[in-house]
Amino acid sequence: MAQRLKFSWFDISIGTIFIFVCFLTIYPFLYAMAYSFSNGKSVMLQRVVFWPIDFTLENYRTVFINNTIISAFMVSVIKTVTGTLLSLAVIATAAYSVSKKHLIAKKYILLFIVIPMYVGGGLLPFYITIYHLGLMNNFLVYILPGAFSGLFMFLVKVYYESLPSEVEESAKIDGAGDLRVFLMIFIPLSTPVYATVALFVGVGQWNAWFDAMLFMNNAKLHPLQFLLQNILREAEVTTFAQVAALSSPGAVKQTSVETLRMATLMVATFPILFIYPFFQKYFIKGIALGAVKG
Amino acid sequence: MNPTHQNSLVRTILQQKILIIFLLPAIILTFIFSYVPMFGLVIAFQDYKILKGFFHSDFIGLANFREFFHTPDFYDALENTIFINLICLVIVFPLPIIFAVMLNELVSAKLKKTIQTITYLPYFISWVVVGGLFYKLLESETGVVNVLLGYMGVENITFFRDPEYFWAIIIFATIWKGIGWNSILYLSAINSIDPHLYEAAEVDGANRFQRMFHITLPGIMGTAAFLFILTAGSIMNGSGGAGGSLAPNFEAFWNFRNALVSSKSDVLDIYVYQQGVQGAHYSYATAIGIFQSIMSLGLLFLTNSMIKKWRGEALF
Repeated sequence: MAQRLKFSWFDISIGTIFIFVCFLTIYPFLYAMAYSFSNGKSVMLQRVVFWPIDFTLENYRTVFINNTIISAFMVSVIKTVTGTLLSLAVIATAAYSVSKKHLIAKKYILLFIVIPMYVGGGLLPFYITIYHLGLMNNFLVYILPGAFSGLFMFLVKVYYESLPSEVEESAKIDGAGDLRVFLMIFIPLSTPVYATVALFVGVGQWNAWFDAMLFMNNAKLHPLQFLLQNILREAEVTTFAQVAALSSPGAVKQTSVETLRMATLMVATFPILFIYPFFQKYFIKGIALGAVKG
Repeated sequence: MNPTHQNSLVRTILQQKILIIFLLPAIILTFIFSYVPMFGLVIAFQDYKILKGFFHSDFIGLANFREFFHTPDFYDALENTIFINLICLVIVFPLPIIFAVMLNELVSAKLKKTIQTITYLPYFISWVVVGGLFYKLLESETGVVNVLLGYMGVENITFFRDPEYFWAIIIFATIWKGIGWNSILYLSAINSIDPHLYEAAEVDGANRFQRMFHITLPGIMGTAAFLFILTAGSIMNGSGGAGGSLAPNFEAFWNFRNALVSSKSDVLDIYVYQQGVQGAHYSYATAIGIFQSIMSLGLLFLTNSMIKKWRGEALF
């Protein structure tokens, strides 16, 4: 026993490997952050490695006064909030129904939900379906198609089934219907699993760009991730730089296309970095539960 | 059906009206966005025109399938898809297992948790951002990787202009993004191993490595076999999503590719997007999609039966 408390060469080498892995994980963010705080002209002469070169806030200032970026940011916020709330509502209610043993035709309903988890029509039939539904260039295309998820429904169902049934039974005896039981008993008790689902749906919404590329020609409704993709890939960056030059002539001296790109990238990433620590404890719990029971 | 039966059915429906109303949104959404596209697969056998719709386009049998089997671009995409995914299956697949086993060997629970928190993070970052980060890090001349290589006397490498680096880059990025997250299932498998096994082994004088190889690894082999089947089943679509397999998906390729490296970066999913959405060859692209699905299903059954022969049990 005394032997195990000492650190062997094995512990030290594993520790070293993990420190290296963690460093490799974090470093790209640090690098982009250092770039985003660097003077755009100076980075052409010196190389960023760890720290910003000629620290400046001018890149962020330029990003935050750019109307295109602000409106894309708002589109992302709105679709993340509405999409997450809609998903939670659809998933939480459906999970309540399928968690009841006596549900009518339960076997067939579950089969109906499980099949699409394994087979699908693929990209083109989906694309054409959206077209014929008239959802092209419609904000709803961001939130409706992914609003329900069988996987998350089963996660919530398993959680509901783990709740003690006595409270529900006594409420039912007192004459409470399913609606009351759901609203007054299940919702308050299910915060951890709702938080888990909200995190995944919310992050998915925030990070999504492919739906915009497929279905949204209206540039005013492009989310930040899609705009960022364009900014990173040249297309919009020249106009971006021009707008920056017009809006604050002094700033141009301290910014460049590259530093502005990294500042936009960080703005698109900060919300995730910010909420991650808060949700982290929930999802480890939620996923562990789902993995054990499911 | 006799009247009493009918009455009781009506009564059940009335009794469960809240449950049924609760289910309706989920059922309707699933029908519209999952089942309707499945029926839409018929367009692979049509000369589908979007203005004519499903019902008025002409049926042309297997012509779309014959067409792609005679197209060189299709074979290039097929080759890239198969090779990248095979590399992932052989080299990338074991990494989360090694990661989980090594993490389990750490003595400090707090350290373990910190490492988990840090390494899960990239999973939550979009491929757009990951692409942006890697382009920056690997930039010619100014990127930090080239700066470091310069210190070591290596000449500047144009990573994103030279096709020969593309596979290495996208596979490394896939590992970077997913290794932590993909170890979760293995970690929970390790946690469910009976601690008495370790104690008994210790009493018998087994050292740390012996315990690792004879208890921990066998304890997660079931999970590994299960995930291996799912990963092998997704070789064709590079979907990377099925069962959380660790392989680059469409979003990864789209954010890493550029015109200069397209000979190595354009996999079937990219080809389908370019042909179907950008080129409006809906039927042709759908036919390739069906080819991918059939091959995937075949691979799934093949790996499943191989694993079954070897272990006695498998996915199904």
